Amino acid sequence: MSHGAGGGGGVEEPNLTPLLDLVLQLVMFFMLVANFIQQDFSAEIRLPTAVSAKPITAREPTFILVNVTSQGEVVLENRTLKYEKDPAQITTIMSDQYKRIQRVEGKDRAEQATVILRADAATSFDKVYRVMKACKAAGFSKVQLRAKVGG
Amino acid sequence: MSSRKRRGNSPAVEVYIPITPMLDMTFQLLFYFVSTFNPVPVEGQISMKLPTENTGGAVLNPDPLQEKKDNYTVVIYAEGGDYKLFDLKGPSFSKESLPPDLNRLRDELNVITSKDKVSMTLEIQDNLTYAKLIQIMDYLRQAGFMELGVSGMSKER
Repeated sequence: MSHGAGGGGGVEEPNLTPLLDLVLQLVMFFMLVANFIQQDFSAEIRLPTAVSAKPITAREPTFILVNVTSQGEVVLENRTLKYEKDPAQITTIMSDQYKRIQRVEGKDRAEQATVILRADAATSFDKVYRVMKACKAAGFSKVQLRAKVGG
Repeated sequence: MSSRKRRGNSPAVEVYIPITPMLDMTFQLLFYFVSTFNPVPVEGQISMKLPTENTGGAVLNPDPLQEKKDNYTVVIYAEGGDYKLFDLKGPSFSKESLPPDLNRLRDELNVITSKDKVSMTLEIQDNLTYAKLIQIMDYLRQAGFMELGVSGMSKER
């Protein structure tokens, strides 16, 4: 890139390199964030708000994220499960997950594994409770209910 | 952008790398990601222990020392997804058909002075919405009842 100076009659060119660097960094940031949202969260879920919900400071070492839509569909690892179609399916999948954690990370880690439950505000209690019971039947003992932090 | 290379007596060659199309494409990508960006709200957690076979209900913030605590039950009847009536049952008092007023519920529960020595089970009718459940739990936690549990409504009711 050349910079004309003085009265030499050279071609003036703006230095675009810092601008390009900045724009590429912004693109990279938005790409990473978009990917993160896609992996972990179901966009259909509208969480309720709770003042006393503790902000998440650190992620649980071992966790499984379970989303429950307002229709009662369970979104688990990019799969949508319909309870009415096969009531035992959720327990089977959760049980497989529990066994996988036991095998890969050890028994202690499996016992401390947390199920993170993100349910839509309009979901009825029975649809949330049956997921809790399925998790318990699969061997999990800890659950986190997710809510938006606020008043 | 230009660079000059001179080898021997060969004339100077100016090499131009056109970055304008790249910049155009980058701006288009940036515009796409900015326009589709949907920031995730700050999420919080309410930790619970899942129900055991004996209790049938999930327990919130279980005491690691397993201290024996007085157990109170709040039965929540629901209609149209919202809470309709509350029943209170505990070792020292029992009240039925309380109106759907969380302040009133808190006032009734204020007779319990040692809230840290109390575990409370919410026995919930199926059609209560998750938002209302979180609202009730949030209210009780703010009132000082930190050990809460949830269970489905028993069939006798």
